[in-house]
Amino acid sequence: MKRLFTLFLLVFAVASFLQAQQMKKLSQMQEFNNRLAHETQTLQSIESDFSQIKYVDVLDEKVKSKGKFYYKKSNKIRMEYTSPVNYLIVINGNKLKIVSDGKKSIMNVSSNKMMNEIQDMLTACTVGDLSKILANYRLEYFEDTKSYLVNIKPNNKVLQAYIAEIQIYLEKKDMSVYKMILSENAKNYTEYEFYNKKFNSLKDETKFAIR
Amino acid sequence: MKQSLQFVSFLLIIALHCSCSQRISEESVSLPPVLKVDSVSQKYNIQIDFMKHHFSGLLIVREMPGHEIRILSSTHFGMSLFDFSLRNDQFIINNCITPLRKKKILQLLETDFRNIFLTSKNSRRKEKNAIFEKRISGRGFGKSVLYSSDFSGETPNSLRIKHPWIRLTIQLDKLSETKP
Repeated sequence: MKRLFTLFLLVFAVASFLQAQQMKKLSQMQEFNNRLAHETQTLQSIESDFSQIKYVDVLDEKVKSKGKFYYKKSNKIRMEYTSPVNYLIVINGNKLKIVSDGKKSIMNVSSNKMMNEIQDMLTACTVGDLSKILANYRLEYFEDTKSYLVNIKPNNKVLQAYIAEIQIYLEKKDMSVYKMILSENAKNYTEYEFYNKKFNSLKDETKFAIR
Repeated sequence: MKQSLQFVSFLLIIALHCSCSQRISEESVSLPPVLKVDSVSQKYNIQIDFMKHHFSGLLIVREMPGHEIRILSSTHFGMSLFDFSLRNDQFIINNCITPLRKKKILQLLETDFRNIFLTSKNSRRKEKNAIFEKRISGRGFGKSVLYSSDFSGETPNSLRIKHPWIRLTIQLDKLSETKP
């Protein structure tokens, strides 16, 4: 009985601790919006490293990848995977380029509504510019002392088949995205972390060239 | 005399044909899996080339309890493509994105995965040495040619399946253990 009581106390203490660690609903929405609008307006470019972990529930397996991330205003994104394989995704305006195994594919995303939405979503989530996705997604905001969390759920039924929810974590100090979790369903998700970030120093336009 | 010589020649041809056929049929009966799957996940870079289109992603294979072979694939960005189970005669689609949910595509993937991961009854071994193996399975439009290379012991690290009639090639390259 004494052991059971100790166990109960321990569980209660851990639960209380976890509760305290959880983020609370954002109260100062106006302040968040003003800061985000200001930062995204002054942001010209981002260069960073990224790590990616895909969690596969059925195998209880984590698949790790990493690479370099580049963003340049506006609508230019480059994700350069270096491990476990070399793989490149470049978005420039309406065009998307993928280079894998030395082979290049170029697509025009403007003619494909879903690809367009994914492009906007990717820009919004990696850069933190949420203005473009407000109409097509449901957004919920949370915070703790160091960061903001935005939960994003697509309204589009077709997109819901691929993405159940996206969580983006922004650092309060500079409003930059440091983590993104893309959940396909309740059990499978991919987590991206961005680190070694450099802002407004990228000059090289050729990184985003699509030809 | 001439007739008996013709008869002997005919018998020789038949005997030769039978001996050759015997050798081929021995080769075509129950070839071992090209890739042996066990309870530890194996990860591959999968490349699919169809006509002028190229796609690459990740393939994970593992043997689950009950001799079930689980085959999952995703894009390098992390989006899931399919999740299949192979168990003897069963092929179970646990999950698959809508664009791939086509009967012919699923049949083709099932056949290829059976030829790779299960004992194959319909394949013929055409060549085998320490560094290379070539198998052929099916006929006509269903014909596929399977090339294995870059062996570590009995296991190939690289595998290419060509479907010559539909201009489709699927390639698997094992991701090294040192890389994540």
